Amino acid sequence: MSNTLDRYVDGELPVAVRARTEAHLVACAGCRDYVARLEELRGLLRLELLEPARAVDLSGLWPAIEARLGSAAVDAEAAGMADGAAGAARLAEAEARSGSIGRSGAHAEVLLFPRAVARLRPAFVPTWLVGPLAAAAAAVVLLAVALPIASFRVDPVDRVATVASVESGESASVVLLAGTPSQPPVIWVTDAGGLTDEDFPL
Amino acid sequence: MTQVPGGPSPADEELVAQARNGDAAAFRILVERYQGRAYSIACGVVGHREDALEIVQEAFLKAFRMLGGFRGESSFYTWFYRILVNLAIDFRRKVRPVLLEAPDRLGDARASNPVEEVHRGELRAAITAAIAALPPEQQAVVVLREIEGLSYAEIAEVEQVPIGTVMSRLFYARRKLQAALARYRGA
Repeated sequence: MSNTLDRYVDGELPVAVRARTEAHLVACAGCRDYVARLEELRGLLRLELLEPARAVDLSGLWPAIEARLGSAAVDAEAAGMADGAAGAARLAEAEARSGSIGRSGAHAEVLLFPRAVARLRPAFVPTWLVGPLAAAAAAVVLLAVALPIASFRVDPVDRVATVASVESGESASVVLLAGTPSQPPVIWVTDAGGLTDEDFPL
Repeated sequence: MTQVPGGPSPADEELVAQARNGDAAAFRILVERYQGRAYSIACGVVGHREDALEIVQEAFLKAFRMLGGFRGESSFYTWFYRILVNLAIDFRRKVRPVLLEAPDRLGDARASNPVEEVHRGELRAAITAAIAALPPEQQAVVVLREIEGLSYAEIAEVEQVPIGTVMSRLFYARRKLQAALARYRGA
C-alpha cells in the first residue's frame, strides 16, 4: 500500500485507483498519517531548498555564459552540424567572435576543481596562507621522497678494490683486496694460477 | 531573435531551432527561462551555492554545444536537466566530503528573531545533510520530484532509467529522509 500512497501523493495514480485510494484514506488512520508525513517532508524540502534558491541573484549568469558562447559554438562535432560548409563557416565566425578559444577552453576545464580544493582549507588557515603552505608541503614531500633515493644510490667508488697482496701457486691464487671505509677486506681465492701484482694494474 | 515586448513567449522548440543556428538571443531566453529551476536542482544535489552556479553555467554551455544533437524527441527541459543532473552527480561524486555548506553561510531573511533563526539554520543544515547522505541517484530523483515537481516519466527521461527505478529510488530516498528528519516533525 505504501508505494501506492507514494504514487497518490505524487499524483501518479490512474483516476480509478486514485478514487479507491481516497475512499480508503477516509477509513484508515495509518494511511492518512503516512500521506501526511510524505506531504510534510515535501513541504520541508520545498521550504528550505526551493525558497532560498529563488532568492539568489542569477542576473550575472547570462553575461558569464555569453562571454563563453564563442568557444562553445566552435565545437562543430558536438553541435552535430549536418552541413559541412555551413559548419566550417560558423566555426570561423565563432572563432573570430571569441578570439580566445584556447583560453576559454582551459578555463572550462579547470573551473570546478580549484574551488573544491580550496574548500579543503581548514577554517583557521587564512586564504593568503594557502599558497605558501601548499608549496611548503610539496617541498617537504619532495624531500621525503628524494633523500632516501639519493642515500641509496650506488657509489661507483665502492666498486673499485685495491689489491693488497697476491699469493700464487701453479693452479690457484689468493688475492687480498684491501678494505675501504664502507667495505671489509676480502680474501679472493681463484683457480687461476700464477697471478702477480702486474695482473692488477692500478 | 527579436521578441515583441508584451508578445507571447516563444516556445522552447522555436528557441532551440533559432539557437541551433547561432542565435544567442534565443538561447538567452532559454537560459533565463530555466536558470532558476536549474539552480534549484544543482543546489539540491551539490549542496553548495557557488558550486551550483558553476554547474548551471557549465550545463548551459554544454547544452548550447550539443543543441545540434537534440532531436526534439523529448522536451528541451528534460534534455537539459539530464545534462545538468549528470554534471551535478559527477561533481558530487568527486567532492562529496566537502559538500555541506555551513548553516551560517546560508542566512535566513525569513527568521523573525534570533531563536527562530538558529532553529531554521539547524533545520536547514539537517535537511542539507540528510540529502547529502543519499546516493547521488536518489538525491537527483528527490530534487527533481519534490523540488521541481517532475512526473515519474519525466524523471525517467532525465535519468535514463525505467519508471520503476524512479519509483524505487524515490521510495527509499523518502524513507531515509524521514528517518533523518524525524526529530523535526511538526517544525
